[in-house]
Amino acid sequence: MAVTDNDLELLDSYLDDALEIGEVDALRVRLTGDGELVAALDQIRSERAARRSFFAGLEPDDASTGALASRIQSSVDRRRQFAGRLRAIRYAAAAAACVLVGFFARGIFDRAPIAGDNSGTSLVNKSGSGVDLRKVASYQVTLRDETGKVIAVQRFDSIEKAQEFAADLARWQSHSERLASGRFVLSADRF
Amino acid sequence: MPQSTDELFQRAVQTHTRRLLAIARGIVGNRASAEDVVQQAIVNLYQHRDRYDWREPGGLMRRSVVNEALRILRQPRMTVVADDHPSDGAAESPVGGMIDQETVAQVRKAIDQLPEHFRAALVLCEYEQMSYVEIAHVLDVTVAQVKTWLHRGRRQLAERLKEYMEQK
Repeated sequence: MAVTDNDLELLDSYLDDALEIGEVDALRVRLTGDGELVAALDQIRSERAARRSFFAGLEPDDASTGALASRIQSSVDRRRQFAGRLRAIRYAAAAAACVLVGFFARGIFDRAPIAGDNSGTSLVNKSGSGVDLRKVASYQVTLRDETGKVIAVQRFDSIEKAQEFAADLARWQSHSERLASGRFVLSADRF
Repeated sequence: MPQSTDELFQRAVQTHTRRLLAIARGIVGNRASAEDVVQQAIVNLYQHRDRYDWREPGGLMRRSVVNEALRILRQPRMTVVADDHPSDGAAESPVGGMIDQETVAQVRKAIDQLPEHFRAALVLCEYEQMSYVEIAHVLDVTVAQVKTWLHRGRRQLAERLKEYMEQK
């Protein structure tokens, strides 16, 4: 009986020890009475022997194996060192980012250094450091007492309003001084 | 005594490098450097070493090498590397006395012509002596697919070597 492709696959599975017990028994029965199947099995065995010889030649010698193991270890060590450096760079970058955020946040939120003279009122134009001047500029009028101590600060979003406020204050101050020096006579005093 | 992942990894490299190199040689032939394949596969594993159990790393490393070899072979341009490994080493083989070097060279040539999946399945089956189920796991295919690849690969080899064998 001619050996079919399925028979060859069966024989390969048999030699691979991949058949069920029942299949093995059935095949062995066939092998006892089928010369062509036995010849095919022998042929497959000889092909495998040739391949086994080829595969055995793939085994590297000790020198090749050692050289490759060293290569791998060096490569792993390099990666470990690189990862360490990368971690340090990440920390430095994070710190630099924090400094930058602080720098810009200061420019945005901290708009008001207080300045002025001791005469009572002053007009100050303040600019944020490192940030667009037009966006962060604000104006404030600072009130100080005779000793120069700041007693009040009023902020404005435009210089015109600040100037108007300062002018009002100056008028009020001048009026108060004249009252205090007796140059004005209150109308109620005449009665 | 518990060991760190790095220690286990190092030991795994020492233990398995020889077999892995042989597997890579069997699959890539002389189309790529088997050493490069093994190195890249192991370095890939090292990068994600904390994900794996390194107490039984043989299967993991084997799978990584096979996949790396197949990945290399799928690249469109292959570099033929110097034939520096003694693949025709019949003298080193237990059956070296019976199989001459010319036969081994012919077998090698025929195996090199097989599609890479057939070759990988054949190496794992006949060199690594793995079961069909294990091969299916390594190659990420079904057992039926493994059987088909092995059968077709073996028939193609037999066909290619038929003339040479008949002459002998």
